[in-house]
Amino acid sequence: MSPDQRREFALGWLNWLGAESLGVLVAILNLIWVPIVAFADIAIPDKILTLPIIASFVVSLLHFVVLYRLRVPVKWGQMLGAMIAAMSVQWTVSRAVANGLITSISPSRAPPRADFR
Amino acid sequence: MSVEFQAFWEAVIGILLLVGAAVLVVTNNQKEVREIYVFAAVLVLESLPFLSAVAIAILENSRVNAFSFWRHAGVRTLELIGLRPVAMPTVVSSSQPVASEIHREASDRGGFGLVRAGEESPLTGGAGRQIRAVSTAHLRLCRY
Repeated sequence: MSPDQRREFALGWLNWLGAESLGVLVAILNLIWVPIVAFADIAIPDKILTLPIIASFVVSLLHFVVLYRLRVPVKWGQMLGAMIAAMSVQWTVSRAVANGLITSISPSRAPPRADFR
Repeated sequence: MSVEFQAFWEAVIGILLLVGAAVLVVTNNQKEVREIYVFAAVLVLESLPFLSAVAIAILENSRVNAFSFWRHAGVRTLELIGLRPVAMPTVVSSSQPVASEIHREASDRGGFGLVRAGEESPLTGGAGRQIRAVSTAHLRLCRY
C-alpha cells in the first residue's frame, strides 16, 4: 500500500475501533456495573466510566453539527434523521470489527468460486 | 414460522441500559449520590445508538418504507380532496378468454404463441398484423 492508502486505512480503523467498538464495549461494561452500584453499596461510579462518554458525545455532536452546517445544506429534521441513521450502525460496525479482528488471527478461508462453465 | 427482527440484540442492550438507568435512579433516592445520577444519565446516553438501530429496523419493516404505500396514499388523498376522480373497480367480462384458452388456441394454430400474418388474437389488439410468422423449421435453422 502507498503511504496515503496506509493513512486512510489507519484512520478508518481508528474511527471504527474508537467511536464504534469502544463505545459498545464501554456500554456493556457499564451495564455489568449497574447492579454493583445499585444493590451492593460498595462502589460509586468513577469518573472514568462517565466522563469519556460525556466528552465523546459532546465532541461527536459538535463535530456532526458543524460538519453538516458547513458541508451538507439540509434542514434540521434531515440532520436529525442522518444522526439517527449514523448512530444506528454502531453495533453492526463493532461486530464487524470484532469479526475482522478474530478472522485476521484465525486462518482465512477463500470463498468458493462460482463455476461459469 | 419464526419472525426475525434485524435489531434484536440492539433492542436487548438498549432496553437493558434504560432499565439500568431507571434502577439506579430509583435506588439512589435515599442515598442522593450525584455521581450515580451522572452514571444513570450516561447509561441513557449510551442507549441512544441501540435505540436508533431499533427505530431504523422498525421503520424498514413497516409499510411506511414502501413506495407503493406513499403512491397509494397520494392517490387516495387526491381522491378525497376531489382533485382526482375516484377510480372504480373494473369488472372483467366473462367473454374474455383466460390464459389457458389462449395457449390452447395458439397451439392449435401451429405449435407456438405467435399469431400468423393477417390473423388477430383477442389480446394483441391489432398488433398481430405487425408480427411476422416464423415457421418452426426456420427457428430450428436459426438455432444451429
